[in-house]
Amino acid sequence: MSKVIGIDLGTTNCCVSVLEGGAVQIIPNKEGGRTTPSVVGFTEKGERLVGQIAKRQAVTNPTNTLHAVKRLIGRKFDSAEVQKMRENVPFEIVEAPNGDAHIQVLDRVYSPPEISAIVLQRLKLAAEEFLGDKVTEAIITVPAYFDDMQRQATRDAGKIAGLEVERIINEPTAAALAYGFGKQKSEKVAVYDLGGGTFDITILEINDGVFEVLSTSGNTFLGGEDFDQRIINWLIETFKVENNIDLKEDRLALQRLKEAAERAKCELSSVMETTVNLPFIAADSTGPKHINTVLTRVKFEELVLDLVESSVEPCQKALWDAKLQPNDIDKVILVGGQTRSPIITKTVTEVFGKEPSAEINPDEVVSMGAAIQGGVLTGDVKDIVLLDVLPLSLGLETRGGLFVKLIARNSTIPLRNTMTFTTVVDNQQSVEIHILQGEREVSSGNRSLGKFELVGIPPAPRGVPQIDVSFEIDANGIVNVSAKDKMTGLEHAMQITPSSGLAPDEIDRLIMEAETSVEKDKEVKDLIMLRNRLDSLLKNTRRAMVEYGKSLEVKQQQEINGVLGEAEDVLSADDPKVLEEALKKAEDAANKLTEALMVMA
Amino acid sequence: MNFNNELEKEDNLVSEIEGENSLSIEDFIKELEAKEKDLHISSDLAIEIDEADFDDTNSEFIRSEFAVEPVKMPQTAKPSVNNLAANNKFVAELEGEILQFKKQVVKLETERAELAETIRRRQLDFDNFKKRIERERGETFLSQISNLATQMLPVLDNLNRALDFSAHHSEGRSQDFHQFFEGIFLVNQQLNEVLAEMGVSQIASVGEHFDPYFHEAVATETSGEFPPNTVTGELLRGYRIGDKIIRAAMVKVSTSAPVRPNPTNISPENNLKPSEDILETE
Repeated sequence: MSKVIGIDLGTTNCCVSVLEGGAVQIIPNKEGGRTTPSVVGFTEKGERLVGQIAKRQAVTNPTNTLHAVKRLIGRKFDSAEVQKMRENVPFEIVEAPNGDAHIQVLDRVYSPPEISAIVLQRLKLAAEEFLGDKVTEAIITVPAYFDDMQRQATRDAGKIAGLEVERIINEPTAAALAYGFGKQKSEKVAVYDLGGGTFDITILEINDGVFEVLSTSGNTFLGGEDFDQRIINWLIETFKVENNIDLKEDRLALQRLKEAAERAKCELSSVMETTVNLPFIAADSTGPKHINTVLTRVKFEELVLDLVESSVEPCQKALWDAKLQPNDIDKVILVGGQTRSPIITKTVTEVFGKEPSAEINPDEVVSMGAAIQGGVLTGDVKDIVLLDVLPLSLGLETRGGLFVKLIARNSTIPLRNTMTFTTVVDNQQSVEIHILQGEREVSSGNRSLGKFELVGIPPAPRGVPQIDVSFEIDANGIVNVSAKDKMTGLEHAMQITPSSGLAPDEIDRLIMEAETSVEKDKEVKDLIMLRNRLDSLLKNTRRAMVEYGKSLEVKQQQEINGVLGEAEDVLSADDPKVLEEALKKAEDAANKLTEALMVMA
Repeated sequence: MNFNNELEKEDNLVSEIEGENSLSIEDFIKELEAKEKDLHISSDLAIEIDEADFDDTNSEFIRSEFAVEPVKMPQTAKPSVNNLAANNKFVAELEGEILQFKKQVVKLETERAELAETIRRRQLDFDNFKKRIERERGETFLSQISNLATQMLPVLDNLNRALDFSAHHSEGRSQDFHQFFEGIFLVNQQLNEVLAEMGVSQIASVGEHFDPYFHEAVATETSGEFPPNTVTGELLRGYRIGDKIIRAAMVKVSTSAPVRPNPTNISPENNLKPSEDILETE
């Protein structure tokens, strides 16, 4: 059996790992990074860029460079999160015919799973290179609060990337797995996850391999980037007071400040003070200006205090929702790079009354947990059984818009449950089965998964007909709902997926497309490289001709200029053969020029 | 029977390891045979066991393993009626005991198969690990230089900033200053030479097509001088060692127009005038 890789598909960064020789190995990307930015860029020439490379060209191509697509996956266009995101990103989010949030890039509309698939495909390739073997199976993690649609969409993303997603597991569950918690006894674990752009707190109960999510809370717009910004602002203000120069106007200065702030923040995790040293950051009539400032940990903590405190309330809410006291929590785990700051450790210790575990790299711990789960599936790991649970309750809308749960959250799947319903008015001939997912008592507060009608109920006084509604969830988390009139045997059923997400044939088409696009990407890249080579050669030869051409014979000059002119004409051609030919001719011409010059010299 | 059920479950495993039985298992079987002999199991008794336990097609494995016992015997070999009661009891006891042994065989077989599988996997992992280490060893030198350069570059940047500044503000300075400046300029040159000797080279930027594999865009500007998507200015020099990028050049990039809602007919701009400005020597 080939390896099953573990993927942490994050909002800002992704991390992929695999179990090897009984230990988890983080798989580096092509550029050598252990995490890959979740950024995809589409160039006008048809190239698709991923990760760091995509990030580098974001400024030149903002409308076609997509980031934080995880915030859109499996969501409806008119949901609050999507609307909020529309205000904050330079790319265009559009409404798909089925109401999903999609993204317009150049002349095409992409669904969020397709974009995530591009990142996943890159991670898959990195893993294949690392392992020297094909990789076709993966475990992907998602936030604990992701509903069925978001999980299904994530699964689709995997499929499009050519990965069979064996399991979708919760990020906090993965973190707990990486720490090996819950192997022997039952434990309650709080997972404090402060990543690049989001904050999640999850309380888990682990019991015989069942990881139950007791509660989740958080802030979807709080992360490490906010901490950096505080340092940058402070540096800018201090500099302005001292020198009366506003560094905000200077792009290079800002970029240098950003890097320095990030470095200072990291250093303050281990030392009490650090020096921010940025020589020649600006200049005015009086001479060059430098930043050479000491930033103490105390000052830093003062700068970010309100950010840290804003994470406390969600923690208390999570405890309250789980009906637990801080001392009921057995273990606390820190996830996300920002949790390296001692002020976070201190705050978390205060909230939960115990030191958090932070031995495992918080950027990698989720991916590692996913890889361990992969090891469970391949049989490399034997002492853990992880049972799938339903993340959110499933049920129906009943009279007055109330939500009736048929299957409670955290039930282990697969399972099936049936409940009997009846009519609310006399001679009612049809009932609407509206399937929802969520924890709210009122239907409108929960996520609608689909609806259908059961018609043809024989006339009877209200309350007399008996309609059995069955919910069935298979091992893959696919929900089937059926309604049956007991008297007539009339039955109607539906599988949850059609109202949203991607239809199966659409996924198949996208898989094909993704497979061919890897080759296409390479072709495009090669073409661009070829064109660039020809372009620079042309430039250089022209330059040389201007300077030294006169010393050549007129015939030779004409010949070379002719070749260069031809080459220039085909520079925009899309046929690599044409370009290659032109390149060869131009090279010959350039050589002739050089030879002639050598002879003269 | 229990035994058969259990066997059925393990069937996959059992058939997988068939044909590669190790010495230890054979030893164990021999031991088992010896024990059976000690217990005076005659071929007579084997018939009933055979009928009771070996009626399942799934037990091929056991059959082959216990082929030393005649598995098909004529019915006539049954013991006489007189001793039947006593014998039956004895048979039942032995039967139970054999069953225990057989269960143990299966259990050990399973364990052994698991261990063999684990070893196989570990060996694969190790082979791959070795290959990777070998590959990485080739890159170690490069990555060490690259690490060193990464940490040295900010120093070089600042030296360059100092020189740039002084070069632009040198008017009316003393002779001493100019000599000192000259000296520092040479130090800078020396540093660049050392880097070049280590294989570290600068990334070409101004006038080149913007390429995110080498350039990091931090700003855009409209430019009459450069075609769109060309590097118009270098804010921080980029460095590479072979194909490996140590640091992308931080650059400004030209755009065709500030607003470009629907870029449909994009073709690479190629009005390459032999402009001196492209030469950008530093």
